[in-house]
Amino acid sequence: MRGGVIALATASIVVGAAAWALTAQKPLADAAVATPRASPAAGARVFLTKAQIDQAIASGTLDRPVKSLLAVKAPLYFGDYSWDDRNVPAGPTWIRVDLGTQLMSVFRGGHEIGTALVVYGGDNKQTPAGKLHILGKARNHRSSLYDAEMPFTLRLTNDGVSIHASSVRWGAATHGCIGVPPPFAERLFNAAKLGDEVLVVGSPRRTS
Amino acid sequence: MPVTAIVPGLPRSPAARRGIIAAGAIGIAAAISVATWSSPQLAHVLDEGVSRSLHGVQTVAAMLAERSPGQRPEGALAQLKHKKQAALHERVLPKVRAPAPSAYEALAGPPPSPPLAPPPEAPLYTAVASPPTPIIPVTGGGGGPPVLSNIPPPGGGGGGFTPPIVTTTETPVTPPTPVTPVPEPTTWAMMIVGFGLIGRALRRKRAAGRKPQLG
Repeated sequence: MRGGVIALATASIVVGAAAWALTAQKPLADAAVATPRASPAAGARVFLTKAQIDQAIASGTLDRPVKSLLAVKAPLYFGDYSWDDRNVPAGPTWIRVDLGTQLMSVFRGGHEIGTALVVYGGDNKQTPAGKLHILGKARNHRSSLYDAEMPFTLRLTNDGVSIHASSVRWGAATHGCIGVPPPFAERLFNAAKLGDEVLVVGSPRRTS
Repeated sequence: MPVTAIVPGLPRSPAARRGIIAAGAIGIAAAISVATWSSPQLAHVLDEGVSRSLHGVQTVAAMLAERSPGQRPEGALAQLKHKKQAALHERVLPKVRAPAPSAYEALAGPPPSPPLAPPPEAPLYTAVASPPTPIIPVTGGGGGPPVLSNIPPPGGGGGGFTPPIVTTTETPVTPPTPVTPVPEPTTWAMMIVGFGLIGRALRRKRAAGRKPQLG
């Protein structure tokens, strides 16, 4: 027992000293390596592995392969958004709206270029779920039905359900439209074109 | 023949062997901690590796859920106002203690502190109900000459107004300035400067006393 204690003490001292000796001259070598690692785009995107994509498609989270997601560091608040389309090549654009998580994700060529919290339809006028398409675009739309400005409108259905700029705040709902923060709406308006797919998934409320 | 007898370096008991394993683990942990402490770059690389390996096992749904506040709550649309902080709605009995100041009161600043000096006991002036002097003739319009020297003339325009007659019973006494238990900053400063001056004077005197001895 006594030998074990002595061995323990000696070993920890020796290993600690060795580690100290090894790392003492390290910072110089590290400093040279550290400089090129500071590229901003490296941390802004999370590339998905094949296993992750397969799992997401199998579980129904995604219906098609996605190459990367934006690395959103902190939970979004209402009115927050993230947009980063740097170095993302051109490709088919599609929009995923999840009513369960109140999130919108915009994809281009398999890479996520934007995400935001949205407001959606209330209980009496629910947002239609399913695969929709952008039927019309209007930069300065004014709703005649609700007598309200709806800038950057992307119309989804023939009865007027759209994606448009809105005051995204806690506890707010729409009459079926999908409201996004105005700066995000402008970027989305410029990124989307007629015929692009909008996938509305998730139930706003679990039944059980 | 036991193995421990052949190799003298190896410990004899399993407890000692366990001790060495523990020592190794502690040593490695110490090495990592020392290394990360001594070079932040290494710590960053380790951190990144750990987080990357965690991201590897994270599902897409979990990654999306991380940035979301979750589902819209059941009664969210029925509430007209966002839930406020509890501190602003503290309910206390007013006679037990004063409630916490509201946000507007806190913005306006602290309430004025009550004066330290007690109010003067005897009134400085006594208003006499019935004037001891004869009734002042009321002059309307023109503003007549003052009848008594210590009474201001009645207003010319209004007329019919008799000013209340006040006679002083005693000279006004200024209330004594309150003495606070803690000295004020200026007092402190003056005291410190005073001590400094005393010390300087003492040193000078001592130096002056020493000089003849040295010379």
